[in-house]
Amino acid sequence: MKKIVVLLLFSLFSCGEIPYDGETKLEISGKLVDKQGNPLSNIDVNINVIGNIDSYNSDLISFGKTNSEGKFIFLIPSPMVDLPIEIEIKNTAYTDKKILSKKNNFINYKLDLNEILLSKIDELTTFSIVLNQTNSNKQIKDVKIEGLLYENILNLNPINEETNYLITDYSIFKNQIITLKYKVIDYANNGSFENFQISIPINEDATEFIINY
Amino acid sequence: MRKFSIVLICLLGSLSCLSQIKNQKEELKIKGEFRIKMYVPIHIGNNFLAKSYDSNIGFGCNADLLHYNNFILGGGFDYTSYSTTDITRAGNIRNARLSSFYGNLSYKFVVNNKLNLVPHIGIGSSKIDFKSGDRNFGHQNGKDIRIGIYTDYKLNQSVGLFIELQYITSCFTINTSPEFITFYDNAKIMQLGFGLKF
Repeated sequence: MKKIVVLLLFSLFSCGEIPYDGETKLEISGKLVDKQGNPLSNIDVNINVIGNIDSYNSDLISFGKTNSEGKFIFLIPSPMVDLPIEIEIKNTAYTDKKILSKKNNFINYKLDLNEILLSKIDELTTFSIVLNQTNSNKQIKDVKIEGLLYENILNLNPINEETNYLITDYSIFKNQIITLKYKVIDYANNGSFENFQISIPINEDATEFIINY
Repeated sequence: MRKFSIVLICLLGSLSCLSQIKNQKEELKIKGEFRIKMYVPIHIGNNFLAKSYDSNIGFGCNADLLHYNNFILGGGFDYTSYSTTDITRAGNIRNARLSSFYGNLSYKFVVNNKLNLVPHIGIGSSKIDFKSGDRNFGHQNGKDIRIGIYTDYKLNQSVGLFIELQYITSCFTINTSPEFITFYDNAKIMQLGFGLKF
């Protein structure tokens, strides 16, 4: 019984409400466009303050739609703790998009996201890289794709660029030629490396590319 | 604040001149006269309370304590609640609640046995609480200056009715992007109220 009471008290205090500063208003603005640069009006935009699981619940702090020029402007009270502020774009005709920001992304209390590209679901396909390591002394690094990519989730504060984690699955626009760049390091040969650059045509269907190293 | 002070000094000066015209017997009295009122706040200008909220009926009370000739010194409290109409500017927060404590100086013009006209000026401290039910979304502090007039009608020796027309201009503390400072840093309210005096 004592344990249950302690557990209840802990959950009561640990999942609290996010405190806000009513005297500080953060401005979030942007414009939604399609692949051709046309403004997208009447699209739902939600602003969420993402609480962390241990301490705070999340809040839908504002919401609205883009105007006839595809623009949105929200002013929200500033959270008193530096939690992620998520701009969530939702529409049935277009793919969902999330942009994650923090207070350090605001300049003069303002976050101007400029043009945000939205894509129709049928404009996109997937591109996957299959890593086939044949030599245990070799490591692949710095995988980059140049082309018209589509990011469903854009984090304005990337976690750590030095990490060895490689992204291998991409959402990508159909009917284009992309350039895949990567580096292979050979530790058996004093860490010498070789750069690769490969052009890959993307058609209507999902594309898979195998890198043997 | 400097603007407020200048206006206040001018108004005090005007009331002082009026009192000298009357040249009545000088007498300082401490006497409690109380007012309770309801009022309709009408918001003016391009500011957040005018554009992003709908105001509800407000309530207030006032106590006149110090009487010197026809001058009266007192203080009071006003409370107005608002419903959010524009979430993009106010946030997804259901209500704003404006409360103000103020001190005021009045001058009583006796029209006849039943009717008095009482112009008044005052300065106060305002606070807006942003809430959804019991959930608190912070507050905004400010200062206000007010000018108005009571029309008092005596029902008997101890009770009267009054109507009040009052203009309040407030300035609030705000930190936001430069384009929106003037939207959030002020409010201008015309109050039309009525109530009981006893």
